[in-house]
Amino acid sequence: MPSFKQTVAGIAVSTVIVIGGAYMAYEMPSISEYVVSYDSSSSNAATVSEIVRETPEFGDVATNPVSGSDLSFTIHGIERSYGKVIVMVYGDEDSYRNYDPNGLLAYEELSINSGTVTVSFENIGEGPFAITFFQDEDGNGDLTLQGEYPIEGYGGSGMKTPYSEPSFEKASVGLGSHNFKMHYLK
Amino acid sequence: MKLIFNQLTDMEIYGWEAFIGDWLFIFSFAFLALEFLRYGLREKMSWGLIGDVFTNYITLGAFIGINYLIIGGFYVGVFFYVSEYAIWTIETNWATVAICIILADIMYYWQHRFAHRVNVAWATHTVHHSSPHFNISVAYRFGPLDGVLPLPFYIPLVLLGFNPFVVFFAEMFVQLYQTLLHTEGFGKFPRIIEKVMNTPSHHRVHHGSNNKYLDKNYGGIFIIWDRMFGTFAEEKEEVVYGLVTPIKRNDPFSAFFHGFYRLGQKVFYTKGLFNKIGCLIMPPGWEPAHQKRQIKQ
Ligand SMILES: [Zn+2]
Repeated sequence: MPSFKQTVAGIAVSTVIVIGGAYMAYEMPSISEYVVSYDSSSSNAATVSEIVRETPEFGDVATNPVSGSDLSFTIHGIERSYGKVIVMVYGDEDSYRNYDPNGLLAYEELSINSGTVTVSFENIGEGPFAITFFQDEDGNGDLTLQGEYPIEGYGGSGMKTPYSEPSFEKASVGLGSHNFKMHYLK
Repeated sequence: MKLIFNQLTDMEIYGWEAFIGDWLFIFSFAFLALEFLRYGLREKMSWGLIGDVFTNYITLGAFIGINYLIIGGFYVGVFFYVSEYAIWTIETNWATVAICIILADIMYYWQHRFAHRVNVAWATHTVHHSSPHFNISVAYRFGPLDGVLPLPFYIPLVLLGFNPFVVFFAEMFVQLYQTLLHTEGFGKFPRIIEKVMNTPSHHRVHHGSNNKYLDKNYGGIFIIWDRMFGTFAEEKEEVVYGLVTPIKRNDPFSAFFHGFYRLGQKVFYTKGLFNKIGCLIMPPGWEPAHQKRQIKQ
């Protein structure tokens, strides 16, 4: 039988391997197999300074450098090529909770070119911001549900799983660049 | 490269899990038929053996029943609850799934070692070890709470940011690899494989009640954890399968509940609260210092 010391050392080594391994996995972004042509009819409202569309290569997960006064984020894991990604940015808890269109700080429709879309907003204020988005696959301008479940891609800040419904506080992000994931149930 | 990093949905992961699990179960019956043929040729066929296979699958049924009714929903609920507090968000693709399987294998090692060295956990895991035989049907022999035991050990993976579905898949994958090790049909594989991977030979040792083989080879897929953490033993002398104190009756009911029955008896007859707690948290052979009575395993 291993001694007590050996056991403690074993647990320590295992902890390091598990955390290290998970970090490695965290550094591996997914890519999407869909690459469709760029749709030039995409709306470019005044608030959108830049729309970068690219498939991430292994290793470059996190940050596209942006100036500290922009809110910028990349939505990863877009699996289907149809429709647009509709992005909504809220700045207060009430509007966020009620999906109040009048309380929106920003609203964008982004066309899909590859597995990721990136957007950045200038002069949007200091934050905190809560972000929600969905992939309007059928073009009805709304997230389509079947029963209780979305049949279009959706996601938002603070959403760890497809079933998260984060509070404004949990969903809050500041200025700078962020990464989010599109979730699909169907 | 591209294929490995393609995004996978939760349903795809779940689909693969069900697919692999179901086919392996069917395969296990075909394999069991071959093992019976082998037992027959060696004239080792007996009613005891047939009864044992029967017991194994009945315990599986009881285990699935308990999981389905009580543990299943709880397990899933805990995973999704915990995932809200994850420190990272890890994408789901075959590369990250592969990493998760390796990490789940380390967790399996510790969970398995815990099951052998903490008496209350042993009360459920002892069921799996109580068969005096060793064939693929033994892999499906489970104790009442074998489904809850792994939970705390896999939560850290969810907390680190792996998708709960991926963690379920990884757990299942380790378990299914383990299933394939329950056979006397293979001797030893080439040395390099025996060095790195868990093999039927290593796992026969784990199921041995021989003194040299006790509390050895806890590994799931890889044997390197046992080699690193000082719990490895090589298969040398012939393995005597089963418990140090064998179960008296091998019917499904006795087999399924003998662990908790023995634990209950031990706690009941031990004097003093601290000693009673000791019976629960100390290794199976533990006895309070002043007590002469001997109950082993
Ligand atoms: Zn065991």
